[in-house]
Amino acid sequence: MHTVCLAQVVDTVVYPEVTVAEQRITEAIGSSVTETDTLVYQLLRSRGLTQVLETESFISTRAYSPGGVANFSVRGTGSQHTQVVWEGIPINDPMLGQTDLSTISLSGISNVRVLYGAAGLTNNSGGIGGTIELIPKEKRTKDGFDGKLNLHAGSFGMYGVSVQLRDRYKMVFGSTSVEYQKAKNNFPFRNLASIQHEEKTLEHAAVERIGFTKSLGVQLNERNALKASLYYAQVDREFPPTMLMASTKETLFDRDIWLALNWNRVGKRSRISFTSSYIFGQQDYFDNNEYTFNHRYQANKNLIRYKLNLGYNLHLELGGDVFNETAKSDSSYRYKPHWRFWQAAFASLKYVPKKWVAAQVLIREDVIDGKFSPVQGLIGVEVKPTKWVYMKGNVARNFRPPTLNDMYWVPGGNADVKSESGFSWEAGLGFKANSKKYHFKAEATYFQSEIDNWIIWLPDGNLWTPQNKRAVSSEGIEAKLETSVSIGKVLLKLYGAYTFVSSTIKEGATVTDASVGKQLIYVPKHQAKANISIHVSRLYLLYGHNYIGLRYTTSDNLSSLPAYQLSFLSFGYTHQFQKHAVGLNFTIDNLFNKDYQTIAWRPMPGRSFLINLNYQFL
Amino acid sequence: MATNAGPFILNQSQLSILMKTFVKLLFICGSLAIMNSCNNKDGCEDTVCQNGGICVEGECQCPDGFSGPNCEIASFNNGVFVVHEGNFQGGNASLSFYSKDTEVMSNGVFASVNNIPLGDVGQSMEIHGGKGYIVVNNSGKIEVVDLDGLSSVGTITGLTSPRYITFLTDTKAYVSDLFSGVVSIIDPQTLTIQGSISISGQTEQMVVTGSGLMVAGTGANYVYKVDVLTDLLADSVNVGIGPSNLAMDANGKVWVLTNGGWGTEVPKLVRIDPSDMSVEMTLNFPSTNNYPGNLEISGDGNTLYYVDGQVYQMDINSNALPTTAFASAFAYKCGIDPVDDIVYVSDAGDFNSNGKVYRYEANGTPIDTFNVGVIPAEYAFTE
Repeated sequence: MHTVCLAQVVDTVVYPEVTVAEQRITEAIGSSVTETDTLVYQLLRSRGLTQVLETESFISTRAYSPGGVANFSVRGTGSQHTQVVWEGIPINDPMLGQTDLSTISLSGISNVRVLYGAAGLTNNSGGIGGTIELIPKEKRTKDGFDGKLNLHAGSFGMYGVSVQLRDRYKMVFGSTSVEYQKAKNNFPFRNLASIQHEEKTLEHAAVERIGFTKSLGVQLNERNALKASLYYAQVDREFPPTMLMASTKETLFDRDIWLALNWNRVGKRSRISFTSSYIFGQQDYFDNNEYTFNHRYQANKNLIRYKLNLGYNLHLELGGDVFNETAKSDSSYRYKPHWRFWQAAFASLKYVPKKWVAAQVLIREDVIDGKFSPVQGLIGVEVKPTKWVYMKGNVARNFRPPTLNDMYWVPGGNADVKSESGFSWEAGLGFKANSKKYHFKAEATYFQSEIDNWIIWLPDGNLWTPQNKRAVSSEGIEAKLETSVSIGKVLLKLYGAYTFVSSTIKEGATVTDASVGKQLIYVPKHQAKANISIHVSRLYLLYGHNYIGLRYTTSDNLSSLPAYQLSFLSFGYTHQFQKHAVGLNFTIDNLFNKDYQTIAWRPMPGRSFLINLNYQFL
Repeated sequence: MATNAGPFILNQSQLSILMKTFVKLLFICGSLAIMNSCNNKDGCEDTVCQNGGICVEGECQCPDGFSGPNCEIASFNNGVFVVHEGNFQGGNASLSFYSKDTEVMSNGVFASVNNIPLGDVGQSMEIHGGKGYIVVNNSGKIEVVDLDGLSSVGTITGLTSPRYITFLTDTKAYVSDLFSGVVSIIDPQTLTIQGSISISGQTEQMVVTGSGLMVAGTGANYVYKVDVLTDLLADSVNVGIGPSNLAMDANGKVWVLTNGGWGTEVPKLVRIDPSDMSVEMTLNFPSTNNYPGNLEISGDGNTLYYVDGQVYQMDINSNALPTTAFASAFAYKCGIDPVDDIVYVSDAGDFNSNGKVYRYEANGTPIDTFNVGVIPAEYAFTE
């Protein structure tokens, strides 16, 4: 709602029409969801998904370098506990069980949505922490075509170009996007590992990305539509040394190809959607010894969803998944291919009377290679006692299976390692008010979750092997405020978010484990962010501020990285004449040139500049 | 109730109150967060400086003649160093020192004396001629310290992935390497690389025998013999997959521990005669699920120790591998004091937090336990 509202107010220039997305994950009732503000997303997309999420979500991220391998934490869990979803398809790497945020090409992605906690259970399992949904560009609803060209260049050898086109001719619609980006990341930093803290320049940190997306759809008749979507991205990265390393030769090449075919049929009271997809992932890692390690995985994932309006405000949804995943790796699996056959089914019943209360019950079961998951499910409720106050909450049970690496890595992989199980509940209170002149929304959610059988790699004898030896308890608060006021030609917008996460280890992995009762590493307890912008006609000025609290780097919490604060400032102007619009944005990142680290001894850039030039044909 | 609520529209003054309240809240939140991050304490509440040291911002500034985190160390010349790997690329390698004079274990001694972190992945340490040579694997360097105060004498740089340093004389030492494909020849006086010996694949431990330098060629499954006069390869013997650890016994024989390629074949303990490079005895471990490592030998050269989850002890005259562990404690690595035969056992816990060192008598009687740094690994004993 927030985004749509702002799009109407601010981005009438940018979007010729505001359409409702077709293929979004249905939000679970009583759950918490955030979606990045359109302007912020447009500005930060060239910086990558890590920075988009860092600036506007409750997620905390950490990257080895700008554009480097990026991990993240949602609600105190690890990267493996969050599913990334495209066109409804979970696309986490089955070998690692996670998605490296820096490998995602955002050229064909119009926005990013985060569904917290069990909210993604309406679509997929495995998202104990949450689900990140990449939302593809929406189709045109009218005949014709529109396009957008973006050129950007910035400090430390960064430049890039992206083109996005959409077209429609009667019943045939499609979109195309291409992206190329390169960044040297040769920024100066103070080497805190040397006595004099002398200034050095980061070396061997270049990132080159190519992205391509294509979708083609046919509205066969009033009821039926077919759509094919392709996503291609490749990222070639150098790994820079830490402050304590002399040099490194490590590089990583990633390639992802996702192809989805979707049939969608809308009936009078029902809707059926069938998606069949092919997922390919490639990682070629070159180590310091110039050895190459090749990992490949592919998957065929089929998803069917059936929605039926039962009447009496009751909505039934049935879903089924059949996934076939295979992976092979020269080094990790000694050339032996491994596969996994994954089936899942769920049923959901919603009561949505469009009045003051809504409720949902969902039950889900996954079967992997014949092994049944714990019964998963969700019960959610939303109550709106007045028009401007709402309360919501849910209780859910979720699970995460071991990764293929957990099962088959040589040496040490254990095919008998158990799935992790998660139990969570949350309760939120919100307040919102809207008029033509203003928009105000404030929401706070308390969450609590328990993850048992947490998989950790530890030596058994001298052999490292995955073990279900940890239990983690998380609780926290996510609070956000979104507001905008328009006074004449002036629009003021304010976004603020605060996250408190206490994610502690309940059960230790070893007898002498000093981590019991301690905060998980790299999960800040406190995180606060605020974006303030002023828009006068087609001119804007945006200031963003981000506070990341202290993060522990060892599990006994005896070592830590200090808290830091980062600011960015952006201003820009868009000029429109007839069907053409030209925009220029200028952004200063790390405005106050602060030294900070998101991973210990990994330097991050000081003040940097970025210029975006956009041309749009409507 | 709610459904009957009329259109909810705030007037200008209500709106302004709302906005002001929000800005205030944001300010309070921000202030609290900032206050949370920086407290007004000077960091010296938990720091006790001994021997006249003064605490400044949580760190002791020690008078001359004393060092260590609490100025508790008068001398580094009589004790045991514990080299900590720290996490790979975590930059938290560290050095602890157990003083036999005071019976105190001091942690982080390199950093506290030299005001810089030790580096990335502390691999091993050798003591020679009153100096300590700390091999820091992933920093590609060897830090050299003077044992009279542990201050840095210099750094040997230009190494790729150094593992062990072995001394031939006061002016010549060899450094093995995982990735460079060479054993480097070092002048320990000038701290410079003087030359190299090409050995394909990874090289690990080395030992100087009467007939040459023995090198564990982990990558190529050979133990090599280097002529120390010409620095050329003189001979080699295939001992099985992954020879990593070497130890010379009282009879001048060299024991080799292989890792079996981590599951490819059973690991082996092999005894070779360095004079003719013949294999005299091969003891196979029971299964490919054994992952033994860290072969050590007592000061008199009569008792072998290795780690396979726990520490195992074996007489050099035994014809079979021991079946029961020397001590029940989980062991990542171990070290044997050459003077008093005390066994030091490293417990790295979950490998992401501070570990422990257990000490045992040579007969297996536990002595005491110390808290140390992240991933305690190998040991160096003062001369």
